Amino acid sequence: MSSPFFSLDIATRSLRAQQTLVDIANQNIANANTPGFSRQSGVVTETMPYPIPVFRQSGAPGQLGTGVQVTEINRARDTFVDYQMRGQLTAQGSWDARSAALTQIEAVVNEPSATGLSAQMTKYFSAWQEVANSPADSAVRANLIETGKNLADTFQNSVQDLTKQQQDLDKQVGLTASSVNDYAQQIANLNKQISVVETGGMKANDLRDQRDLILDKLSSLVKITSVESSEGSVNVYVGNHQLVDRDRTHTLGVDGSSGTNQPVWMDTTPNTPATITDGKLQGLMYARDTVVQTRIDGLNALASRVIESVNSVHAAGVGLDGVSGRPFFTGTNATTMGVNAQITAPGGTSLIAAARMLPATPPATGYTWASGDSSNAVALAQIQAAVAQRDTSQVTGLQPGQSFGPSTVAGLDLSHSAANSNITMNVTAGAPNPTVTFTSGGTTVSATLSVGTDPAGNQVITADGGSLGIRVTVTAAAGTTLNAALTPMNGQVSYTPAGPSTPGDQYAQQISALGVESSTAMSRSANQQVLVNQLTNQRAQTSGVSLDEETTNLIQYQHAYQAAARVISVVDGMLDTLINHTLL
Amino acid sequence: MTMRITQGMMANQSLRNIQANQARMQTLEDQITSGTQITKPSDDPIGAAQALSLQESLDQNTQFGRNIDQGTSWLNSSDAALSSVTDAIHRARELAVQAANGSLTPADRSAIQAEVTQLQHHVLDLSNSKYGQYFLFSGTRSDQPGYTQYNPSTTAGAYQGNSGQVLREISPAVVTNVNVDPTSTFDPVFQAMNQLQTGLTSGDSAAVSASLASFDTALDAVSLARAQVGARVNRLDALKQRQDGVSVNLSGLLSNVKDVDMAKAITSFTTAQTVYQASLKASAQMMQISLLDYLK
Repeated sequence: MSSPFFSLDIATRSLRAQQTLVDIANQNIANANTPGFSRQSGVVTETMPYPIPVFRQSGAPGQLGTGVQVTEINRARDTFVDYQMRGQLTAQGSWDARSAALTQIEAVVNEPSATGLSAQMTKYFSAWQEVANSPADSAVRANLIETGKNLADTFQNSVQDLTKQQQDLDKQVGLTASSVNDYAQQIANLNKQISVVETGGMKANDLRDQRDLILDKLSSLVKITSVESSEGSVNVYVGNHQLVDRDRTHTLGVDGSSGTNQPVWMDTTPNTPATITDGKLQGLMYARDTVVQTRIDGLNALASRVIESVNSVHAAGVGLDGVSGRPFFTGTNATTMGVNAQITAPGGTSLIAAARMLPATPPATGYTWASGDSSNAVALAQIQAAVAQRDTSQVTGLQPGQSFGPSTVAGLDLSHSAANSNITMNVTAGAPNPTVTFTSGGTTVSATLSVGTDPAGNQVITADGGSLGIRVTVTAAAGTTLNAALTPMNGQVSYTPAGPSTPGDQYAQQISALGVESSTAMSRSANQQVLVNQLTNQRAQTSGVSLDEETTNLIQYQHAYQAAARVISVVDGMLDTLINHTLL
Repeated sequence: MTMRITQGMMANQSLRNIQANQARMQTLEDQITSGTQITKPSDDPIGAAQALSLQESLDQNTQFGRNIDQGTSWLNSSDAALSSVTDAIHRARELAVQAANGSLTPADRSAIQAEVTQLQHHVLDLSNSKYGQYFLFSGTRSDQPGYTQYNPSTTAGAYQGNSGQVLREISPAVVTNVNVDPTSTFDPVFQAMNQLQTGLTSGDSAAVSASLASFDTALDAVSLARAQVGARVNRLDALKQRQDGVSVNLSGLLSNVKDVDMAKAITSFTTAQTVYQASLKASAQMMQISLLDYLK
């Protein structure tokens, strides 16, 4: 038999439980727009019934319920979505950084346009045509100098802008590394708080939400693996190195001693290089070291080709003073390119070599030049349409493992090669024909020696280095036995710079490659955004706050609260009857 | 399990879609206002490279056109000078025929002699014709006159220029010279006139008669030069016409690659605008509804 006070107890517990549930709904509504917040819900259970069952029960019809209580507050969270989300955020971080860098490069190159490098090259060579048309006209010569300066400036400015961009990216690498540390520190702090709360038996829902949000942010910077320990801490690894160890962190720093910021772990002496495989940090480094550098290398290669070919023709001609041997451009690449200071100085127009030393008209002997001769200017203008030249050299004692280069084969100019490195040829025996491997600047091309006969009946062995542009031809007298190992013999080595033929084509190819890379990066970045959006929705399905849902719950709780209050007043009435009206 | 939809999801989704629609409109607006569909290489990587190459070819072609025009002017100036030389030869030959007649009074002869002297000066002037600042008949030594006196057989009167060729690149890798060889053209003319002048001075009618043959040789030489000039002008004219055609083709190709198809772009823009408006309207209406509207 229970007392009326027992009823009051149940009602009180109900009021308390409904109140808690209202508070939970209130908290959900309050945080409906809070980033990282997960919807919370109360676990509502019946309290222990009364009395405890014993063998013989007297005076009671059965067990009576004692009411309700909220035993736990949970957060709605799908950890698998978190795991997927972090992977996608990492990839997005990387592609976003690359895409942003490429978009900036596209703005720097400003092509296709009427003021880009392509237009400046065309203007420069057209100016040579005009000099060819009026070789002695100083106004036309002055115009040529201006277009030459513009071309050199455009090359220089482009490379300067790109170098500036590289420096900015380098700074960002440093800043991103310190952001990683900030987040790591925040995670470590939260780890500490969470483990204190949770070892006390409660659930640290809001702290966990904060930590998950920071883990999301961290994962867009670097690729992380996170492992939760039993006391509720999260240990974070970058590669194989621990970043967060419960409430302690290992510092990721940068080492700028090599000229660029390289991520290192600062907790060891000496610092160990950090392996960063993905995320914004990796994207920034890739953009700095590869994306931007490729463009700088491309411009340098193009500039040195223009400088070299213009200067070699210009030096062969003579100015209006009859002197030859002057270069038109100074410098060796896009960074250092400029117009010869002698030419830009006052009176320098006369030093432009439009003419050539030509055999004098008999009866005069020797060589002479004339101001109306524009043969050199024509030759200079033709560089615009000139295909990359093939350098050829005779070599004696060609042998396996031969290394070719400016120093080893006289007359072979390998300076067009971007890597400007020697080319090595290796001959290996094989049936039916030996194989030749050419290596240059890290690229290796294999070719099979093909044996043929030339019109004179000589045996000719050729090996073509394909994209490296190198070609070896060995001619041996008919009847000579060519053995598999290629015994040292005399031959010809030729080298054609790889890539497109004219300077314009070379540049157009660079622009096309930039476009392909940029549009790929943009679409990869957009795809990542789609994946992240999808996962955000998926996460919101579980963790997001629906106001309609909370309002519905709130009304339910309100009704339950009102009913429990009604029970109290009913019991109050009962007690009133019992106390005030029964004994009178 | 039915999908739980939250207000946040709807708001985010609406915002993303509105932004995507705006981005699409912005791209199309950019294309329409700039008139080009390639503003940066990533818009169309292959197209961007093609546009650069085509623009380069077009500019080169335009430059070759200028070279041809300039070469043609040079040749036309040469022809005008040589035409006057031909007239002078004809007149001198007429005078030679008159002088060879033998029935001339000393006054007549001195009148003829004076006119021949005038013609000699005239031809000398013509041999020093200029195109702009360049002497046409000095080879590439075009800053100086080819002849300073009208007697090339003397050292002082000899041709002062050279045999250099005045070159113009008229189409890719095709270089032609636009000047005539001055000595083979002018030397016979001066010689014939000198012969006549000498004959008249000495009263040697045989020499005067002999000069007739020299005038024929001179006429042949000048005619040959004029024929060469004419042939070159024709060649340059033909080339110029071809290059105009090439320019039209290149411009067409460039336009195909680069220019926006306005009809298509504007239609797409209108469609994008409609979609944008619809997304705004739908979002606005969707976001206003809540259970709270119906609770008292």
